[in-house]
Amino acid sequence: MLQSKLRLSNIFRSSSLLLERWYHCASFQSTNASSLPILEKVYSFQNQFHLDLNTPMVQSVRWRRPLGIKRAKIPHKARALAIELTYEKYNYPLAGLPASETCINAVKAKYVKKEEDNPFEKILAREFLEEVKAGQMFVVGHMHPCTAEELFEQRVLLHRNNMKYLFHNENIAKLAFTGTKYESLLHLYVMFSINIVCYDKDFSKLLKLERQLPFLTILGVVVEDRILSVADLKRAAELPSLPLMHATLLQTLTSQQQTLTRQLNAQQTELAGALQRYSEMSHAETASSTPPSES
Amino acid sequence: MALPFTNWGSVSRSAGLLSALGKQVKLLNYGGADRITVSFDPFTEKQQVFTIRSILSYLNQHKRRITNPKCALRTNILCDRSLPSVHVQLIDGSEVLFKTENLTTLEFLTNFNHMVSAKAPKKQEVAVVLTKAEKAAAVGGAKKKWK
Repeated sequence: MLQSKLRLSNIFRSSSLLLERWYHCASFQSTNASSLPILEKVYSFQNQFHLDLNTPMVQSVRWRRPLGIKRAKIPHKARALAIELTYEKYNYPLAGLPASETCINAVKAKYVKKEEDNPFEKILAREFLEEVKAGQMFVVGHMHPCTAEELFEQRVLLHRNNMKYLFHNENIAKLAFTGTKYESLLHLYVMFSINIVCYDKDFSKLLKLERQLPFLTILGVVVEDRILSVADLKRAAELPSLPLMHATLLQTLTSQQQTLTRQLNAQQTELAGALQRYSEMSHAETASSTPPSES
Repeated sequence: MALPFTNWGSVSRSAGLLSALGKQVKLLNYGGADRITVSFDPFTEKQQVFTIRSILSYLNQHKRRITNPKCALRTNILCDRSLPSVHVQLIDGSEVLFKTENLTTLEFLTNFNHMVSAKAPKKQEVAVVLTKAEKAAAVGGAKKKWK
């Protein structure tokens, strides 16, 4: 009890001494009316508990806890109040400045050196672009989390279907596609992106593979210098094959000419048919009327 | 006057965004969900796509999917500039729609755990009753190992 009283008295003594000093300094510079009530409050509080000024100013506490930064001891309310009252308050040094000067990232950007492009990354980007150009279709997808074994099985399945899985990250893709016709694809390279090069133009096979590969979600496909979305891909897969479509087109184009020729030749064909039927009938009659010859 | 200390109990520091994300991901449970559909247009704003794709990767983790193998997780890739969303169909018939265009990954996971993972059925611990012979065999086996 005595120790706690002594501690309290020291807190208030030190705080009151500091306040006095502060008050005297303030009085030379400017009259701060708000300081007076606080000082009076402190003195009245002190007098209420009949606390006297005791020496020495510094008192050692017997069971002091070790200093901890990670788990600091929260002070008692009275101590916190004293700290709040007595600690010096400085003006914010960056007051009034715009965000371009106060934002730490803006300031850092001025002084941090821009990383130079890695020459090996440039080589990889060039090779990546060559491989993309060599294929018939280029697929960009999102990769779900999977183990290395599952990824290997995926790669084997792709290889069996005449496709190639390319290991390149977003930086390499950025270096490869910037300034080329594939620049619009960079929107898809956000995170967990995968690249697949197909050497066939078979959309239905690609969609079937997507169902077999649970770790792949197709985001976009590049075919014949065009970017197809997933909906476009599905529509293209439902279309019949090209020779069949050519035949249908030809049939549509020639249908009018065929009907015209049919109509022009209708009378001749009917006459020819009638004559043939007549000749067949007459042959049949002569064969039935003549008796068989006796040898 | 506002004092800087408002918590007069113990003090603990936050370990950062990644640990907060990790904590929320560990709490994910699809026990109450029947179907989860993630829809987004990959060609929209980069920040929105970043969020939804990170959400997609967290939701597709194997350890989260085995909480309910029957829960179907579908990805719907759109091309109509629509905003990203996550639609959850719960077992009790209710539905929850998360519109993620202005949500961060942590906010989504926190709300998902609050609305969906909280409805997962809790595991009931079954008390295993051993007979005398089984107990003796277990003790004898343990003793043999130490030899």
